Amino acid sequence: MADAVVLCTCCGAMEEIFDMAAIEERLKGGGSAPVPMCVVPRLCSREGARLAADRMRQLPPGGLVIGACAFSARGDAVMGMLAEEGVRDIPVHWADLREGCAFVHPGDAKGATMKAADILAMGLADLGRADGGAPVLRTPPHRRVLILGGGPAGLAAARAALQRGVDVTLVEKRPAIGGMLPMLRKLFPDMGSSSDMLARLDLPAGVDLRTATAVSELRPALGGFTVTLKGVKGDGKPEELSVGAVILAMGGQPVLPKGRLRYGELAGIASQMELETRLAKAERNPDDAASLPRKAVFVQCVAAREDDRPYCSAVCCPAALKNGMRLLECVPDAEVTVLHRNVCMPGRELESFYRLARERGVRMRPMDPEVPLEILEEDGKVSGVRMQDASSGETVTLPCDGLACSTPVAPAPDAAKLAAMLGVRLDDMGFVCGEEPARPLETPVRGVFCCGSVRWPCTVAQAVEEGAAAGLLAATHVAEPSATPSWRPLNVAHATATILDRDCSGCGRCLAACPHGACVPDRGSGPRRTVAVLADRCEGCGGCAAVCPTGAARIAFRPVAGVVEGLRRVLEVA
Amino acid sequence: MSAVAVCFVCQWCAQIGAERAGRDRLQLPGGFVMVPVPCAGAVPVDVVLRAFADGAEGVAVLGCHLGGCHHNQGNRGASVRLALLGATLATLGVHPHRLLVSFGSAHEGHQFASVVEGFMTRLGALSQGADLALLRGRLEGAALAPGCDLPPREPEAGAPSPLPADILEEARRLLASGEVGHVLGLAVTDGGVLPEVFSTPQELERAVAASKYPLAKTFWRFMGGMPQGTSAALVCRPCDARAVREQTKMAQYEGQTVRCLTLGCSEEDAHKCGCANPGVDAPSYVALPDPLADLDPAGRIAFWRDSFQRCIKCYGCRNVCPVCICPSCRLEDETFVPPGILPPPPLPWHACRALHVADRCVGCGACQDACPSGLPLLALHGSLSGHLHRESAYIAGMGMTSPIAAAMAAQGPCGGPPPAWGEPGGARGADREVRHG
Amino acid sequence: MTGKAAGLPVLVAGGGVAGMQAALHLADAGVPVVLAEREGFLGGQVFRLDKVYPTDHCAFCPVWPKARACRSHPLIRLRLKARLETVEEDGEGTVAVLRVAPDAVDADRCVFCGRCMAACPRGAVVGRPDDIPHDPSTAPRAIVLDDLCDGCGACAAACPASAIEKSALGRREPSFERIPVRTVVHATGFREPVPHPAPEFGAGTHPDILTAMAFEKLTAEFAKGDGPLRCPSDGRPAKSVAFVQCAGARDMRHIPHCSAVCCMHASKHARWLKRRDPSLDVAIYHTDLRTPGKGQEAYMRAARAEGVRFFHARPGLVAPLDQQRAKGVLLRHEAAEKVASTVVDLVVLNGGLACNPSTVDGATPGNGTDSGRPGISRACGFCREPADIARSVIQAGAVVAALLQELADCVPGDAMEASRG
Repeated sequence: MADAVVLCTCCGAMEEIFDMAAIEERLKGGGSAPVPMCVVPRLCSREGARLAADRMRQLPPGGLVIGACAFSARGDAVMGMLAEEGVRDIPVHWADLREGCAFVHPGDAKGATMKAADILAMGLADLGRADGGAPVLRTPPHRRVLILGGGPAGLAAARAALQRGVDVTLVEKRPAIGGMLPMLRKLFPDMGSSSDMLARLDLPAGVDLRTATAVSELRPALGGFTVTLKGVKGDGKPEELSVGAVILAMGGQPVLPKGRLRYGELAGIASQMELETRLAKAERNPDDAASLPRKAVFVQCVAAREDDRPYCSAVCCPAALKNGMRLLECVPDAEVTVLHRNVCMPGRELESFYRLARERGVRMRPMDPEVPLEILEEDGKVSGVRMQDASSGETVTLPCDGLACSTPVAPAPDAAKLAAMLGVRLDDMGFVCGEEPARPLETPVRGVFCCGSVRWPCTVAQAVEEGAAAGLLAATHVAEPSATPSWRPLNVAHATATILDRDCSGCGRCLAACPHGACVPDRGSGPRRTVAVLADRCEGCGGCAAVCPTGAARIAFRPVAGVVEGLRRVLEVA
Repeated sequence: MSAVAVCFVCQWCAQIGAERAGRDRLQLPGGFVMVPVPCAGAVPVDVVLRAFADGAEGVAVLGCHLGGCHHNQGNRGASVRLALLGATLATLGVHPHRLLVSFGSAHEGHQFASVVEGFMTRLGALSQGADLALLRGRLEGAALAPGCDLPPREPEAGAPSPLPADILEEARRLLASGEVGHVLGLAVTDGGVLPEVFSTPQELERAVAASKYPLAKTFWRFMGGMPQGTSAALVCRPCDARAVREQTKMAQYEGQTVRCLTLGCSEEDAHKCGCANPGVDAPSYVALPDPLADLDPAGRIAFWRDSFQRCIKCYGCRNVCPVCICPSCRLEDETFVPPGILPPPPLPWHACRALHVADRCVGCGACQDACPSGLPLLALHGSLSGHLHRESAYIAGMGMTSPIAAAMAAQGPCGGPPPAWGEPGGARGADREVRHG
Repeated sequence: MTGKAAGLPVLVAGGGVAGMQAALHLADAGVPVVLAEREGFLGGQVFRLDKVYPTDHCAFCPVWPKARACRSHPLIRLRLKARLETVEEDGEGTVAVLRVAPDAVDADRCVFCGRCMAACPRGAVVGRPDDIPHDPSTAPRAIVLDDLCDGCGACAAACPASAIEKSALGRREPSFERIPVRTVVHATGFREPVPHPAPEFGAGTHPDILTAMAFEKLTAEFAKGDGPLRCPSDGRPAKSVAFVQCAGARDMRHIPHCSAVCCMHASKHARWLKRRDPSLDVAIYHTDLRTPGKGQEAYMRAARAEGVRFFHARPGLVAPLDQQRAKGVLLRHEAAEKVASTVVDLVVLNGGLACNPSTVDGATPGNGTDSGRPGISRACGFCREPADIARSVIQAGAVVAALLQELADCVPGDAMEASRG
């Protein structure tokens, strides 16, 4: 079976620059048999596709080179129509003869013709060295989504995924779900109660909920992942499950202001979370309000936005203002001053909340980050704060009987371990990375998603949003196995990598090059370890093949040998 | 005109940028072909070398902006690997305009057009370059050419000497305690100084040291034949110890335990070997004459032509190299090295091997010692090691990292601070092309 | 919801990032979608950007595959140049009324061969919208510029694909399309209000006082040419640029809210300016700097390290100097409780982005995507709450997840059958 060429003349426009006969002649070069060629006036039409399909049926080709416009112009439509006409499951090489050739060499018909022939020749060489015939089929994913973490993000994800009709297992290492929600009594921006929120997030029947359960192992496997759970359920024996997608929703943990602002040394200095707890007590029982400070100072950005932790934790300003308003409600004649370095409350809702807080009497003072705060004490208790006001430049002493440090959220302690098991990379602060900016909840590893504070500090409302979106993504991933992921730019050939075991030295260069966690160490037949490719994760990026010194790693339909041969044909050495 | 240049374009930014140029009907110069690739990081350096050998006068690799790669850091990996290729070309005297790495964006058809235009214009000025013969391997037949100035070297293994007492004691202790099952070293036999495996402390009586005998490759072969769980020690020179560390980085001893008992090398030894750095855990530099130091590009071309034309393709360099450990070698792949051509074209042969081992080469000089034609291979490999040292402060065999792997693992803006522009791996301001050499 | 309603599509109003993502989520769940976009191309404001923060990606690359997927997804019907005029609820159900702008070229038939462009004697047929610096479309097609077209029909005659309707040339009146839908998802995004709400910032008084998107267009053009950044007024090289944040925003007199994206947008511009020309004096005048998102604080710190200067001050006045005597733009702002004056070559006004009209109703804050009542339309993206690309995409997912909950009687299989039938 020879490979065939289909040329589209774009309603005759290409014929105005290309000499089709000369192309056919040049392709013949080398004395070999002529390449079957079919010229169609308009491939992106029913008639055109049918014409091409009929010619293909007369002479079934091993592979097809389509010379037409750029793939981004009409490629999807053409491939769809050809498939409907029965041209499917053969390797196709799309050659851009229009945007890449005819349109950019308008005055040079001869040169453009030669270049067009060269482009087609390279395509034929590509096909000639393609491995095998049928595209690599991915194993359909298991129809179960595994959610790690039972906080607001995980709960929202479970609900969204279940709604799509897939099985959901939610694993929470603590005895109860809710994450950080039980530690917060009131939520901004509407001061709603967290128990109402928890009720709204309550899991529908049908979610396989595993509390007090830990993940001891999480391995990639055909069809997704195999997870080993060790929990209280059953008799404590480890249980293995096969899942098709994993959602990382382990949340974050607040950083304690240890070693800052004399926290732990003086009475009256607390973290914002500790204040949260005391406010909750006072709101339930007004008598407890007596223990709340009368003159409170909140310090923002403690242990945040500095060299060791160069990020803004996004939730601390809203939390501080919320607590400030609650304090003023519990203790009406109290004074609350928030020392800040830029109040981070972007958007409409948060800006309104900021305004409300100031209307309710919370005072804001910008502090100069270059000048450290001085904590004043009396009898082992905090008595005041000396600061440099950033707007006036003056040094100001604020008397206070209570200081709350707003500290950032750090990623969950088990994030690193679980991410490593999955092959997901973390950023230098330990948060899970999606593909910013347009696919923020999808990690580069196919089938692994992230949401909530394990991805980046976020409010409860945002965590719920992210969880719902991630649940939807994960459910679609397992429920629609044949759909091409909507983000892939080329789907002409379903290219994945393979590594020939006998040629693999185990050197691991491909392990470093693979961004999708598809290359994994393996035990080959020889004495040393080798590397294998998990086809389900491979996106065909070619990174492994590029760094492999032996050629053991190769991409089907993108054979390196094909590129070399194609170039050899066109780079005539005089 | 037939094509003289190849542009690899990544299917994300670069190819879409090219399509934009087409849609806007910008006029582009002739003479180049585009090869779409999934990612700039998918361009194997070997294919670039082969393209030069097959007649390309220039090769460009165009990808997404650094930080914008859709496959994590593929373009950064491409940048580092192609920078190494650029350094190789510079060593050989090839004009830097022949290799271009450029990062752009899908929006900018005009940017694509101007990059290609600039590239082709610069290439046009080089069309009669003397380096073309070197690129394409149009070398004269193999004849020993005079005037190749190499520092005098001792190709012999050197007279054997007893092992230093502390090494001998440690080796004995390791064997006696069972910590290792075997010690590989040298012994004097009828055939001279040869490698030998010592399995008991008594056998160590016969062990000797010889200043020139390379053992890392032999050790690798030995351990390859031993089962999982084997533990062995190697009595060797610092370069061998570094080589063993590189082999370890390549997972050649997983499930096995290896120890190196390292003999020291004096400065005199270093001069004899042409070894610039006989340290093991920390660098210990020796100032050596550099045959390329005073050569301008034309001089370099002549130097390398004279050298490469003597190559008889014996594979000796590869066979003795301790970090060449691949079961199937690209130098025997007929696609890349068509058989029957002598001397082999320098890029797919010498440059290819140099680039494959660039971040592994410990400068042991075994390749140069083994070469029957006296090719100055240390100068070639050393120039790449020097490049890696300048760019990434990297010395092979002295740590467990790799600069190429590190580049690809480097996190971008959403995984930590991006590299500042102007740093290696960062593009340079308005000139978004990174030209090498 | 009756069985009849089960096969009806959901209308997504707005083809920007949020709208495209919502449409894809719905379609992947088996729900048919009509995606209506006001412009002739998908992508919205993102495709008008040159680069995005904090990755410095080009704006097109990460988002383009979504546009491509929307074009080719079997369950998404794309209606370009269509705005959601109104939503009517009668006893039977919901009807979305689209106002469709006239388009003489049938984008599905046009093959972009270029014959029409060559045939037009007035240059009124072009390959891309020329009021945007880059070609934002994901599929090339001919575009008739209404102001230049006189309806001669030479293009229609030259078209081999019968893609141009001569009688439609020069038509100005829109047509209206009524589509029965299950519900509507609003994703209409934002715009820079014209006229600028706060006169003290001098918008519109001088070519060297630009809004953020106008500056984006200018610098993207700059990327095209070689050479330095030039002042639009007289073409002289600009030596100093000042970014003024919250111009008209966070101001009870004008726009009370914060637009969330401007601090990072300015930092992005500032860094790119510095990269192109380190000698340029770049300053950002801000109120609160907001960098809450992933990688944003690090990006801002890098800007500082690269020499961008930050001033915590909201200028009270931005005005051009008397051009006879001196060139430049004056800023008056507070510095250490005194009033300072600075003269720069270019001023870029950030802030005050207005959410495009939509019919957001009853969204509960906290769990904002759940309005609790079936059949009620929802909103996602900037039109609901100022958001950058990542947040808009996330919101779209959350909105659709909640919507699917309500459309629970729409089984994917049924919907696919209904759409084909």
